[in-house]
Amino acid sequence: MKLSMGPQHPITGHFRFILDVDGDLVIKLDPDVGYTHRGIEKLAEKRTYPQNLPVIERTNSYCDSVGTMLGYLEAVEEVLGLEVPERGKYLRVIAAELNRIASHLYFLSLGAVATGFETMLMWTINDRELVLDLMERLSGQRITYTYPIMGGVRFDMPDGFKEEALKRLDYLGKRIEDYYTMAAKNHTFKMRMMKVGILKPSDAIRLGIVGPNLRASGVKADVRKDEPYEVYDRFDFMIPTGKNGDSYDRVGMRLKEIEQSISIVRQAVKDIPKGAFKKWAPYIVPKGEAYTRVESARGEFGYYLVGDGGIKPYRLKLSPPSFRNLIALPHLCRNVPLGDVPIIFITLDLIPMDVDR
Amino acid sequence: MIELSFAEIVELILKVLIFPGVAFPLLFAVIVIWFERKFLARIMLRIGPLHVGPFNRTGLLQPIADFIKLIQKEIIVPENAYKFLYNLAPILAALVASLSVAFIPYAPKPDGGYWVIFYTPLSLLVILAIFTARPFIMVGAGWASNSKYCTIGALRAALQLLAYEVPIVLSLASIVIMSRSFDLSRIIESQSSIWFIVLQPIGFIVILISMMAELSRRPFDIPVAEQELVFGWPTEYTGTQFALVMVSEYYDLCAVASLITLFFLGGWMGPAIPFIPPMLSGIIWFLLKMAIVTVVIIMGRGIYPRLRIDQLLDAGWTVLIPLATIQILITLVTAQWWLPLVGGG
Amino acid sequence: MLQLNGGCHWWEGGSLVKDVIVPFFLGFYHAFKRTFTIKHPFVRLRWTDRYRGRVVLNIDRCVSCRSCVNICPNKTLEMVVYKKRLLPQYDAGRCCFCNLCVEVCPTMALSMSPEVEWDEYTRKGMIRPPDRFSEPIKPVAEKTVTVKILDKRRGVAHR
Ligand code: SF4
Ligand code: SF4
Repeated sequence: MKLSMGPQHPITGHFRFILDVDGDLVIKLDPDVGYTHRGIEKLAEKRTYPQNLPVIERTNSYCDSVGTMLGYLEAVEEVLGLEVPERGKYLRVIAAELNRIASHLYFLSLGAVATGFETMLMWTINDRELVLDLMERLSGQRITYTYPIMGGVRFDMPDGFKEEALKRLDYLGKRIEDYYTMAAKNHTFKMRMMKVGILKPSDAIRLGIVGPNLRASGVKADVRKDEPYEVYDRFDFMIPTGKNGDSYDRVGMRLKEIEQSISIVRQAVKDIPKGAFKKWAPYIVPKGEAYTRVESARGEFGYYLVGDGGIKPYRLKLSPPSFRNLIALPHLCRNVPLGDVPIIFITLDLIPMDVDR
Repeated sequence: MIELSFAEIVELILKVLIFPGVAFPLLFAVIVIWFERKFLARIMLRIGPLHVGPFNRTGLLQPIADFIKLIQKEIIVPENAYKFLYNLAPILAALVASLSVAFIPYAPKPDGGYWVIFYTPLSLLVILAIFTARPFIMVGAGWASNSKYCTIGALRAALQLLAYEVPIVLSLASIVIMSRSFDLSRIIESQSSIWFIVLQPIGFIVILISMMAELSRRPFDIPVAEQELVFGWPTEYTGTQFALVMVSEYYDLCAVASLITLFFLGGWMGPAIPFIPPMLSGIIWFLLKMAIVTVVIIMGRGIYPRLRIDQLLDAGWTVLIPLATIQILITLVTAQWWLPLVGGG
Repeated sequence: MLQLNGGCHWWEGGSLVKDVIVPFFLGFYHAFKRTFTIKHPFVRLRWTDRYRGRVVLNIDRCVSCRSCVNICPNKTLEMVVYKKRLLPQYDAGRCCFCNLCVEVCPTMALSMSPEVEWDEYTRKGMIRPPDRFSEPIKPVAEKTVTVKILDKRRGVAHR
């Protein structure tokens, strides 16, 4: 029986999956993407470099907008040969890591709701509010920050931000223990998540999976460590890896990454240097090309930028992490019960706008 | 022709229309829906319903407002549905669900009878028969809707409900052995010195879990799994029909909470409350125990994620049924010790 | 017969008793914590000063240089004639609050305000000609709250 799941379905968002169902068993899954295609790559060619900021941000807006924008800015700055002031770099890292925490909390809430666990949904969304409020103090927005700009960041750190951030991160760190008790150690949750959608390390590398999903399979790969951008080489943090590569590991990976991000932000707000936080950036970008990659919350985000000496990019190619991870979905959803499809889909952390661009 | 005195007629009307007849399950449904929403909201650190009703911002009448809203809505019948069965199923569900309270005794009367609408010495069997009818209504509704999600949901409902009827019947067997009667009021009477939850803890756990599965409440709400099947077998229902389906769910909850109280928690047994006639105090004890059981059943929705159908059936056939059987064996083997404890007889 | 992929049995996944009962009591305990939600129409969230709500124009400072119109990525701003002057007009339906126009304005005639409740009933009402574009922000009269961390036991609440 063919079952069309989505695009109007409680769990799939703007995706449609065409399922081959036999009773309660899914034999084959066919993702049907394109419902949120906005042509961002083409839009970027029609706009000037600063005008592109809000556009690029919206490839992945509601979860990880800073992480998405950093790569574009890195590319533009590489073509320009522009060096960002130290303080600006630190502020970018703070914003990116706070945003990563918010995104992972959002992921946890979705992961919980895929199993019908509304309590975790509410708890994580509530605690995400703390981070969003912190970001609001820093950037003046709650979801789409447009905070980093060419040559630095938009605003300096407000007064009292450091104390407030440390206090909130302490609270979040304690709160994660509650998440462990309520979800990660909950017997029923484990039953649903363990051994579901096992992605072997060899398969993960062959399919080109990136980000936390790859690390959950036990492969140690993180752009922040492998090829440090901004000032990530100055912080002391580790890359957690999973053992089995199942959905449970993918959830646990996010919990551990939140802890790491908390430690990074703590270090960053403590030893942030004084000085300018932004630099004047020229409007016209010279001829040249650059490929940069950053670790956004969902994984490695690649950017290829070609400038032709004008005010608009000649070509901008995005390689978003959700698109790369999408290939794992049909691979994992072969002969699984229907109840596992939402779990596999959610724990891969795919968001439709990122896939479609 | 049975001659009824005036007092008897008044009593019958009171029973049928107010308690435990028509009004009581409805009131129970309204209070439980409100309490469920409010309490789960508190667990999730939300506020819950707020604006409708008396008292400052409690939202006490929110379920009634929702019900009125649902009644106003248009009833949409899918084009390909088998219309007769489709329209009949919600009414049947509500009717069947409200039937079981007619056989449950809620308190002893001063003259030696029981406060029950229809007294029969085999009331336990009648209740089981009523429970057996539910999966067929669900399958009928799911099949008649002629939608893929509904069909899958109906099949899941049939699998789940049929699988979990067996442990219920088995653990009720040990209760019947113990109280030597199929009569629900006699089962309560026999707990006068000690409640069955102390004598049969395994049976209690088996019944609690299986009843939750029968009710399809989370973590066992697999037939209506929102994230997988939109809403399972009642997906296509709208308006009044949906309201009936929802109400029938809470009628069932009412019956199940009463039954668990009755089988294991000693029904109306409890110290007499001063200044109150014994019958009324019996009812109060019964309702209090029912409330505790209801809270435990409701809490499952806030604490546990949903199981998967194969895990559920696996646990049902391989754990609960052996456990229930073991309970019967224990009951039989240890008969000499518990026999003096069980009163009534 | 098809082979099922994945999934574990009911007994896998930690201690059967502890991991079922501990979450139960943790959840029960949370029912008595402070709620997090704001009762919105009665109390409102307090926005930070930096909050990027409605863009406000200061008519006196504008020198009609068109910089804001050029930089805006969404064609939100448009030059119109108003009282014999060339001034920007603002289409609220298109703005994405990116702050670019504010940054580029040479005379600081534009600024972001923390005003968020300025909904309109019609599409036409969303287009704000210079006079409405330069309206001062409405004061928020009601009680406002912001998110605060109480101690660990009581959790987080809006105060
Ligand atoms: S905030 Fe951005 S979108 Fe809005 S008017 Fe200014 S430049 Fe245009
Ligand atoms: S940039 Fe400033 S001065 Fe220039 S037209 Fe816009 S508002 Fe007026």
